[in-house]
Amino acid sequence: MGRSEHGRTAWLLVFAAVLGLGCGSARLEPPAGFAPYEASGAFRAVSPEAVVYRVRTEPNEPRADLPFWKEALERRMIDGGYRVLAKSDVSAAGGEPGFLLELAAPYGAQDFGYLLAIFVRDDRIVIVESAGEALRLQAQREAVLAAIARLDVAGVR
Amino acid sequence: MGAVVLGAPNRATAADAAAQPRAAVRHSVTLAVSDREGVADALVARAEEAGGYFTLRDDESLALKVPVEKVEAVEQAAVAAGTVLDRERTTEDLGFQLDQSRAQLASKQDVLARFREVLRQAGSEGVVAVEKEMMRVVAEIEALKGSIRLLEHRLRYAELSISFRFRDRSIRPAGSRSSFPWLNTVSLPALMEDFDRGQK
Repeated sequence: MGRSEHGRTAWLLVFAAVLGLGCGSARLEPPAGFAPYEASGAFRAVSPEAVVYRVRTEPNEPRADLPFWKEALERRMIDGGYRVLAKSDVSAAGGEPGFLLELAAPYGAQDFGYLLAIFVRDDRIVIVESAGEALRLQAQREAVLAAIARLDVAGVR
Repeated sequence: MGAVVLGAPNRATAADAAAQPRAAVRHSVTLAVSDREGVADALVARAEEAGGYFTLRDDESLALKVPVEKVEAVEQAAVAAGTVLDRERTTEDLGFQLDQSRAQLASKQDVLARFREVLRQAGSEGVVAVEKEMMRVVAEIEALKGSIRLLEHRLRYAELSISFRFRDRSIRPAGSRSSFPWLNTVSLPALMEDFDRGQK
């Protein structure tokens, strides 16, 4: 990436401390050990190892259901050059069904892991993304999956 | 199995041929590890223990040749040593090529046997010409035997290729636009750039 990761992490943690704690999306929780912050709509959090976590929504357009978007998303990511390491059905809080893709791809000089979960809720699609250098993301994988399992999809704006 | 012996006719029996694998096996794993040197050492040792060897080793990759029946175990050892980023298995059918080479070899050996007969009966003026032809056929036989040995080796030893980083560094998120707008917002570079922007 050509920049000091430690410097970036430190900055992000300060940024998180200033902006994030007590942010508007009270129902959203970061993965354990991540510092949350919110800016321009999405919920964001970062770990001390620079693993990032973001929750946002996009319009469900054209209106389609989860099985449709599962197929479309996987195809899109494969076409984009990502390697699919695993895919699974997941549940958020209240049993809200979702879909998880675990991907890998080169990013800059490093190889990154990229976790991508979607939940389809009426006219919105809730998108959860987490990424980081592959070994660092792997170390945080369980925390990220636990955060997804706790996610109150209805509370995501 | 009917290994080629230099100077001897190579006529594998039908049973031998049936018992031989006919497809070359290639496994490749892209692996993120914290200690490449240590993992490479361990995998080379594991391959040697299984009767294999390494053919290439550098900072970013390792290529191993492992007896086909042991490749799964060595690959599992690799997978357990790090985080798998990619995994691929391919096979290449060499059966036809091997059959064809063996048939050509048998045919050349028949030709050589006939030349020997001709040589015995040749007059002094014909000996040189026959010997010249025999040398050409012998060279072709040796080349075919080499090629058969190589094919047989490829069938006996699977290739296990370990990369410690992606060789292809290109993600093509912008290469093609999806007709579904939200899918165009999902990409690793976009996510990381979003966090980078937060620093500015």
